[in-house]
Amino acid sequence: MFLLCFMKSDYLPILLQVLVAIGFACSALLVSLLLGKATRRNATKDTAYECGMIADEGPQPRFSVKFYLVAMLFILFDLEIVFMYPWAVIYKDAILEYGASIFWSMFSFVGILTLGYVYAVKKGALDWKS
Amino acid sequence: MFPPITLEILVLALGFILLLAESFSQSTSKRSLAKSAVFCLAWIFALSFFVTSAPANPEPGSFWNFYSADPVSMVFKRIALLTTMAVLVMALEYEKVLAKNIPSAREGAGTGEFFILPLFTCSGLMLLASAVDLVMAFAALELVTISFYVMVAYMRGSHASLEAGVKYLILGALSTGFFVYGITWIFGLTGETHFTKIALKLASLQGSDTAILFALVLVLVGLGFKVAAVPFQSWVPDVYQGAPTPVTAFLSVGSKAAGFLLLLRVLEPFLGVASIAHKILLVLSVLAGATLIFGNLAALPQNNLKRLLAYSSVGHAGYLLMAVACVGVAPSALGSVGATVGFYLFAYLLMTLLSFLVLTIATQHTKGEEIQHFNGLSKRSPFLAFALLVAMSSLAGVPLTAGFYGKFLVFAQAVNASQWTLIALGTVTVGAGFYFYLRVVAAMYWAEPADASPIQVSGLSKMIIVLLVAGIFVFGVNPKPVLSAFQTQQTPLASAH
Amino acid sequence: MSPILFWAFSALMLAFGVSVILNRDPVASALSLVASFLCLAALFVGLDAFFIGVIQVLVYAGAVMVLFLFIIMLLDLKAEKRRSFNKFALLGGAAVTALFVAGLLKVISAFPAGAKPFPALGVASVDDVRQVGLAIFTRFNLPFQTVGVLVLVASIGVIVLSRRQLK
Repeated sequence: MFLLCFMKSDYLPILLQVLVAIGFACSALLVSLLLGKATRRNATKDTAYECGMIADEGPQPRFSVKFYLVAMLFILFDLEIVFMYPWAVIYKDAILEYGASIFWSMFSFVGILTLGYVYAVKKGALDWKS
Repeated sequence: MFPPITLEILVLALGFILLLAESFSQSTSKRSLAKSAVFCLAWIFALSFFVTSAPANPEPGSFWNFYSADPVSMVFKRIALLTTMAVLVMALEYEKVLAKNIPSAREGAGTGEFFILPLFTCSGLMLLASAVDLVMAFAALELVTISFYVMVAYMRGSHASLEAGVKYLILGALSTGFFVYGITWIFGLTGETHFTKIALKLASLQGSDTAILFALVLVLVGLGFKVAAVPFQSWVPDVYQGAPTPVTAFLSVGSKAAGFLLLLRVLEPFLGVASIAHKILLVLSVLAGATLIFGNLAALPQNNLKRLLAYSSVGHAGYLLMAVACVGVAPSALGSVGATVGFYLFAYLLMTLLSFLVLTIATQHTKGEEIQHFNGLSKRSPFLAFALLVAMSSLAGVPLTAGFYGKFLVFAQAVNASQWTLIALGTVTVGAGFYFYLRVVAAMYWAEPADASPIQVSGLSKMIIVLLVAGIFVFGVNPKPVLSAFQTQQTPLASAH
Repeated sequence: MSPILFWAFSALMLAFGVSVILNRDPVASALSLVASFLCLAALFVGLDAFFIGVIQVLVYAGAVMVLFLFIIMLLDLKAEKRRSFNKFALLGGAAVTALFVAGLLKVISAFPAGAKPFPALGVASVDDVRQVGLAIFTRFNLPFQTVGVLVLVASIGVIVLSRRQLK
């Protein structure tokens, strides 16, 4: 029934892709179980190797706040795609029909955001060393 | 003469230029940024009296479809400009406290943005004042709110400021969610986002009363957070207390003015639906009553002046809501309520900015914001003590002050609308208000100071304080100039097409 | 959109939404949120709003959730400890939710236009991306520029609030 719905609306390729992805993930797990003998385990096997202390907390170190700063700036500039994509799609037609206003509209939008970029650069927000 | 949108563009351009100046300048003192901003804003304020009016029939693609320049919007634009100027002066006084609480690599670093962000907030408030379309109103409201998130949490070194920032962010996001959900319901019902077109569509919708009411209630919840109406006031005390004092002042005046203007604009189309108008008024009356009681009674035991002013802000939201709840069922009645709310907000602006300005200056010397820290302020600085006396009397509603006339207008409105319960509640809470506002005055004049060293006030602050005190008396005795600015030949409804 | 698909994706979306709240492990919560967003995107696509669907995947399930996971993993957040909740707050929350759902049900049941399905959209002459583009760039120019300023303010805020040493 599900398959029928999908086929009706040309989503068969997507369905196939999803199936392939699930199938790949499952087969990878299964094959590693079978070939890697991961199932054969005992208490001795699970302990840490003979030298060294048994760790009592996870291995992840703390990271610098710089990562978040860059990540958040990335998101802010990434948001522009929401506007740029439809803009690029209609640009050719709109400039014939409505004149250059569509160009200036995006120009001023990007101009405003560029101010933010200039500010970020001058404040050293993208400077990894400091 | 030039189109009114030039004002917003000028404020934004000022913000951009100062941002670039901040980025490129090497100077350690950022005070000149704030001073030039105040100077330019004063010019923009003067220019606001020379704008053209809206065209009768705007073209389909023109910005006039989102923007109105009726007298009410112009008055609110000027309120935004005046508030921003006063906030910048306050920020100058606050600079030392601010610099202590932000991690800076060198002297003065990081304080510049604190003087620039209010400009963007101001442009948002001005756009909001003119917004006659839900999409525009939402974009402008978010511009205002997001810049407030940043400014509230600005003092990263202070635990209270960070906590205030997080609280404001989470509850602000929640309220935005309600507001947007309400907008989608309105759009789903009418297929329009322009207030005038919504009004036309709503009036012709048959049998959808519950859905219309539901949409409005969602919007009211969203706006209730912004104007700090009970039961959506829980964020107010902590955020007001934790935020940097100039931001608290901005929040309590700017955010409230924006919220009430938007509330009036949104209510207008809905009050045109005769079958639900009385239900809307009931909801508003309940909100007003709860806000009046909570704001004024919870302020009674407060000992921290900033927290006291926070509860007082909730209380004043109650009086404003009381005026809104007295709007007649016919949409034309919104005109007089608009003038009452506008005058009350204007008076509230004068007295609140005055209190916070005195608070900002005095706390640098008193080492605390508790009322006891203000003991004997009259001996340390008679000037500041008198200014705070005027502000507190006006907030309490002593005759001959602007605050009194504002309350008088609200009560007159309530008598006209025969809202007797609200009048009774209002009278009781005004009495409570006298007690907690005058406690501050008593501390200043009748208690002995712990430290009697005099307090110096800078020239710019002195000038602003004198202007605000004069404003409270002048508009308390003769409110005509402000009221006549609201007397619209054309109501907001008629100005659209 | 076929009703079966609609219900299936809605149910999945809600299930993942509940799992966001119930999971103790922040990473599992975040991944449930991604799954919930993907189901929402599927709903959009089913309603022929392809552009919104794509944006939902690109911006929300992509960028925003990557930031979430990034922060959760870098901060090395441990599974949330079980907290005892304030009974009063729980009851209050449940009451508000119940009230809201009851209100919604009442509105939907009393709403005449909700009873009959909307007429099917005719085959549009231009696709939805074009329509969104035309709406933004020919009519909603002023809000669009306002959003630009909003993003600028947000980027100032990011730098001011998260740079370790301001300069």
